[in-house]
Amino acid sequence: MGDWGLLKQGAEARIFKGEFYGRPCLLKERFKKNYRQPALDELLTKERTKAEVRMLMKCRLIGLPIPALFLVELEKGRIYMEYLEDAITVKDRISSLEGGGGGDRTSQEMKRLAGLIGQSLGRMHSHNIIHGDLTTSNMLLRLSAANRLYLIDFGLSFVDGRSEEKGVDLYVLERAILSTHPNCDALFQEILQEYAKEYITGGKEVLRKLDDVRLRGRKRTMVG
Amino acid sequence: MIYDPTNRAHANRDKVDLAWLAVSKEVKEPGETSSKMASKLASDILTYEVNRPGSFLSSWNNRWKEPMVIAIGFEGSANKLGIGIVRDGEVLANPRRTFVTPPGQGFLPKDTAAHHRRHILDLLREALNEAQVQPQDVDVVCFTKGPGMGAPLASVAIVARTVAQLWDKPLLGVNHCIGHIEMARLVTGARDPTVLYVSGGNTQIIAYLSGRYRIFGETIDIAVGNCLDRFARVLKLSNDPSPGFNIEQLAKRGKKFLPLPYAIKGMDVSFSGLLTYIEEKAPLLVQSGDYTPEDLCFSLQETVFSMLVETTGVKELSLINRIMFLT
Repeated sequence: MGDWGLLKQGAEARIFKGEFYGRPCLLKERFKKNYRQPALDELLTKERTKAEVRMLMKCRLIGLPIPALFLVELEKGRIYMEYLEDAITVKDRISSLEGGGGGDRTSQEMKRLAGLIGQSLGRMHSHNIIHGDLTTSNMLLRLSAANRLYLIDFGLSFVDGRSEEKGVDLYVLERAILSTHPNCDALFQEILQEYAKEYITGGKEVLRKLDDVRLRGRKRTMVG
Repeated sequence: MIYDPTNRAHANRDKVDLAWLAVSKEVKEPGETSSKMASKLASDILTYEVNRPGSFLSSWNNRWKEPMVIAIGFEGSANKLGIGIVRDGEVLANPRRTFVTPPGQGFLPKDTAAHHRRHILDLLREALNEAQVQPQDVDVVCFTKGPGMGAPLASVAIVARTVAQLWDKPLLGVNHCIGHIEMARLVTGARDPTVLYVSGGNTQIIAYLSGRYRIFGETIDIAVGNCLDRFARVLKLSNDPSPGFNIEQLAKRGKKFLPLPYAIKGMDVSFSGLLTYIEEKAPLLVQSGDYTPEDLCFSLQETVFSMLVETTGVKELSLINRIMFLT
């Protein structure tokens, strides 16, 4: 199947780029983690590969854009999927928008981006899909294809109807945005607005849960 | 101090020397506007450098007053009481006392505060003797302002405030977490570490970005140390020297791995579900003979440590507290 060039090395997996029967293909391989107990490692790798594949298919069924799946090798922890040629991460997009200086144009683009994210997440949660690792790096944007937003990296995902889990999902995103984009305070609020608009039946309830989750944990309110 | 051009701190001195030149020249022969501006800039730099603590000029300015800064620090935010004396980054003394409770019990705020009150004066004398420092040599008195348990914090803060007034020294409140990070940076020499901060009360992944420490991930419920401590209580393990240490000793002999809930939420972790699970299962599993306490300690330790390493997932890892010591 030709050559595979390493595209990215993460803590969880390696990403290769190559060709799959003539199509540009991306290979995600969850490698062995030597720091983990072998039994635990095998279990986690299998579970996550399975979860990722299942959830990608489920997203496709509910009409959320995802890269097309080509092949899965469960034993080796490998997933072959479509390589999105002109996609950039939302993280890079935000950075370039921030770099382009303020102004109406920028804030409009930001708003549009927040709207896209909010809609996708609302749709996803309304079908009880919990992503489990929402960050701006796990969202791809294709500017050419009418700004389509692709959610990726479903390794920690699961299906759950409770607003508790959905609230935690959003909380994870909020924390990710605050730490990677310290100057984008308004972005998350706009995402939540669009989220509630898209997820009519349960969005409000989830936002209430989100407030609960924020107050959890120890020593949050203490000074020092 | 011998001048060394390869040393960064000394190289900065060159800039300051240039600024000096510009100013002294200006004083002699007042010139045109541009040089006035330059000298204004230079004198601004000088003022700033003289006032910046730790800068070459400020130490130069104070060279006849005190040779080096000596700080004394009081910590008592949980069951450990410690006093440290540091001179310009060199730890002169750091005696400690730990409040150890009987097996199966945690430490309550009231009793912990009483323990600290009982020992702190002896400890202070010990620290001063060990460091061979007189109270008048001390430049600043520091204490843990928070976060932590209220009663122990207050009892230690009172002592810090009292000696600061007795010795007529400035008093400085320090954030417990920042104290840990800066201490680890001093000891390891790591310049810009990603920090995994774990203890009985905290589990956070921290890095420095755009001017301040930011939390990239943390526990969304209990701390990892709390999880281990409470499991040690289930097994009635000794709290001496610490529950986490004794779990580690048992874990070394564990063989059979029990799959446990593995809860990672993005960069965040959660331990409360895992704790409930193993608290409920442990007595049954040990009774039936399927697993030994050693196996359970081993499984718990492998699981929580894997979660921490995975969320931290970085190259330069500065373990602030070694995990055996849960404060």
